[in-house]
Amino acid sequence: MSDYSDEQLLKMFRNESSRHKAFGCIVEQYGRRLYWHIRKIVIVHEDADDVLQNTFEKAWKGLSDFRQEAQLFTWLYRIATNEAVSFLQQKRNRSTIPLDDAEMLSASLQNDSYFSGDQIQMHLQKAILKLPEKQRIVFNMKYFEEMPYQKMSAILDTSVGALKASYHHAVMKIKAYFENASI
Amino acid sequence: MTGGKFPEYLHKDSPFTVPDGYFDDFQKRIMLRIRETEKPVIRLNRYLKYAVAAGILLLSLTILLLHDRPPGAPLDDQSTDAALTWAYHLDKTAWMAAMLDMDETDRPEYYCCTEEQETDIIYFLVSQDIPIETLMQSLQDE
Repeated sequence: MSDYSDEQLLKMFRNESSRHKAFGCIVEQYGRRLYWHIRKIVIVHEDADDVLQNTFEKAWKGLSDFRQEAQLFTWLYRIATNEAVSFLQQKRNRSTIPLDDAEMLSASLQNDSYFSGDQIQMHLQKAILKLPEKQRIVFNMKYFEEMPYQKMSAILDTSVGALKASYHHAVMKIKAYFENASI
Repeated sequence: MTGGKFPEYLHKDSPFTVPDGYFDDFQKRIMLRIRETEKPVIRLNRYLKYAVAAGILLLSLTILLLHDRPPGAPLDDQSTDAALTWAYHLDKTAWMAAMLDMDETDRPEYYCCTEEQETDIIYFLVSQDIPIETLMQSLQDE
């Protein structure tokens, strides 16, 4: 399926007869990237799938009010990030054992049948999971997704300077983790 | 990289995988879910709204009475089962909303825990002749 511009998609969406087709194109166009973004936050595939579906459900309900002050991609990413963070919060609250995110997600990672990384990658993920939530999201977006700071700034509603600082702190902590673990 | 380089053995390949064929049909699944959310919601008219509020009030009173019941005591009122069925469908916030706020802007979804439960209740209500006893009896018979 060829990619449509935001304008084309929104025009199609506003037309009742092509609304579903437009949204199908949005899912097709952005779904995969959103999935991987969510997956790195919630770690478990099944959780990422749930969050992705919630994200698109929210997007469907809110798209009529979307005023193109941001790009569609930015808007969807913002919904996905918020949904993923809320999901983790709810998961933590539901847990009978008081765990922080790092402990909870590290345990999930160990048992994840859809993790095919080697030991080094497992260590890297565990080091990332030890970061504070915001730093973790920033690190994933910058390091793995190679997203420009300007774009991240629009998604996370944080200044470029603050994002750079977050990323720098994250890198330092991960390096320290590897040095201390003598890997 | 800002803040120095990572050890060379680190690489950016994603260690995560997905089940086979996951991305082949996920658009279809998501669109299916979207269509589910579009199922029509029947809005309560003014009289039905008050009937629902009356039922909720009755339920609240029943629950209050149940709280006074000694643990393990038998249920002595036939309407209790129906009330408990309602209790399953409605949450505390909903009762409060119903009791405190009954103006024209009331929407049935405020009374319910989830959209599905709301839809169930509304479909059920519109299919019944109102007196609340009839409704509760029907619920009891379910």
